[in-house]
Amino acid sequence: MRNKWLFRAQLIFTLLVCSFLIVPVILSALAGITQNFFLGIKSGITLHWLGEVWQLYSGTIYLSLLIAIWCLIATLAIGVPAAYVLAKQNGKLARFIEEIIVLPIAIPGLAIALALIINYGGFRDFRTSWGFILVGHILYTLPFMLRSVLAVLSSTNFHELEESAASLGASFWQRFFTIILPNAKSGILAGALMVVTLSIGEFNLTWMLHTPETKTLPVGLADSYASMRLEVASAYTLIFFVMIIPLLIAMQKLSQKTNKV
Amino acid sequence: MNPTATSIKLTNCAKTFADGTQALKPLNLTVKAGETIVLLGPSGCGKTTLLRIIAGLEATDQGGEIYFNQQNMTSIAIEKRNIGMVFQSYALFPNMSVAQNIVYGLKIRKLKPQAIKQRLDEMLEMMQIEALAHRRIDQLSGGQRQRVALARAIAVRPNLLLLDEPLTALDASLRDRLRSEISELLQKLGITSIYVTHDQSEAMALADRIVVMDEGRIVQIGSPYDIYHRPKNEFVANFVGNVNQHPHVFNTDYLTLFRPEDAEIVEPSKGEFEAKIMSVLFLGDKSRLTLDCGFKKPIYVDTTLRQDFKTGMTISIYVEPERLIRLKTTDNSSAAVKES
Ligand SMILES: Nc1ncnc2c1ncn2[C@@H]1O[C@H](COP(=O)(O)OP(=O)(O)OP(=O)(O)O)[C@@H](O)[C@H]1O
Ligand SMILES: [Mg+2]
Repeated sequence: MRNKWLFRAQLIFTLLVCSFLIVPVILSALAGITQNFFLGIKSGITLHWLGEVWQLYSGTIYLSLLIAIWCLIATLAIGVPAAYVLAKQNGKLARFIEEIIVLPIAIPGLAIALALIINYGGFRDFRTSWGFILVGHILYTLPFMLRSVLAVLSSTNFHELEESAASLGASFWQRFFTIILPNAKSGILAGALMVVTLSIGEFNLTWMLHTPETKTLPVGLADSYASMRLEVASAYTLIFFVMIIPLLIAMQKLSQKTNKV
Repeated sequence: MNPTATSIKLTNCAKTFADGTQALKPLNLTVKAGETIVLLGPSGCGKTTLLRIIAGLEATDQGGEIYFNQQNMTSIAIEKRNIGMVFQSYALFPNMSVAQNIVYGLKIRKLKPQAIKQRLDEMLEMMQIEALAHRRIDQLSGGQRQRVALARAIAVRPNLLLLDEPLTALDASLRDRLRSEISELLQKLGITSIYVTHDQSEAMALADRIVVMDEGRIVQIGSPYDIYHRPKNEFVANFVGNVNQHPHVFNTDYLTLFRPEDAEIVEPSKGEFEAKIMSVLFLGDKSRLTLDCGFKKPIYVDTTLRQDFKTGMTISIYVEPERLIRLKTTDNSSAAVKES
């Protein structure tokens, strides 16, 4: 009997906490499609604000996607081979390099941005291009890709798998594409989702690195919060959710799947 | 014998690892075409290292050379050596089915799909794993994995088959069954094979010749019969079975040993020495007696006599002279053995 009460109390508490977090999100999303937020939903539902956001800010959405894709390509191209090499070496040097690559996780985004501006801010063309933001994003997301791939590689005996593939006649590249990559797939996929999600949502770094010509979605959001009608800002948030939530769900699904195996 | 079988020759092969461990002292070894060689020795004696050098997974130290059929392979990479290898942990590819694992080497060699299909069926049948062809690797038992690993290694028709303790991960009864299957298989195929184990009965059952190793050296090379009955030194004698020191034959130059099954229990008048039974281990087909004959070390005797031996009884023992193992005492720490 007491257990039952305890359970109910816990359930109610959990629901309260959830609603505390979710209600503002829902309200905010709703605000993006109501005629007038102060009159409430009865003032009517409209796509007007979404249209306005699209007109004002579609550039930031494209740029965010563009940067996320290039960031993904770069972290795959750097992170996967690096993880492979690091997993193969078990010397001190390899551990040291791993620490260095992973370091940006521990450093505040603002500090990374500042370091980038101090070092490379002088190259004007570079500084004013979105490539500058991309570099920041790569630095920031690479550790996640590396960690994720490294974790799978160290949990399989891929070293021996590679040796047995070699004994069967496979050259290095054949081994890499037929053995290493397929067996690291779950880690690569998890890393990729993480990189894209982080890159699309990144604000700290990007806020420091952007120029009026190179605004990403989160920077645009901040801008709209500061200077636009509440409904426009809310509609913008709604668009952000629509982009990011499928990624989060995919990430969740993937981790469930790999946990089961 | 398989007409394409390859002979192997190692000259002066040593291995010093980066951390300074000298796993192998310089050694020579010749394996005849079609022969099955077993590398036998205690843990850490360098068996795996030697096998990996032959495979091409490790380079030998400066000065060592490896020949396959008189062709110098020393600097040829493993993927060009056309070998088949079975690892202790099988190392099957988890991203592929059983069938895909087996044909991996054939695909790499760009065989025609028709030929690949045919070889696959042949392998599945030979290893009796037809029903498993489409299974994933993690759905196989240990014994089944072992068969797949063997099939995959043999499928490429290797010049040389290398097996590193392939049965160690299996339970005892399965090990016995697979051991005789592997033995039959190696005979049938006639591929030159090198098999690593630290289990002397496995070595006896499989080998044409056994190479006994200790501390990075080859201590003796010979047929199982020779190794068992004419061991070169006390280490070999002990490693391939039990031996007793004869209590009554003393000689400072020779050590006289005999095996437990070579001792006969006889009437007191015919005995060489008397001993008291300290314990009896009845094993069904035989009894193992532990005897005390006033010596530091106990003496072990195996007997098939239908007699109910009891602790405390005194019995007389006789060992036929030709069954005695005589070792030069200076031979005990014998250095590397010359390849005959
Ligand atoms: N990569 C390595 N680096 C340094 N030392 C090594 C390396 N591999 C093996 N050794 C050492 O070389 C010696 C021989 O090792 P090896 O693996 O050949 O022994 P083994 O006879 O196969 O033993 P086991 O029966 O236990 O498998 C051991 O002392 C081992 O610690
Ligand atoms: Mg070994």
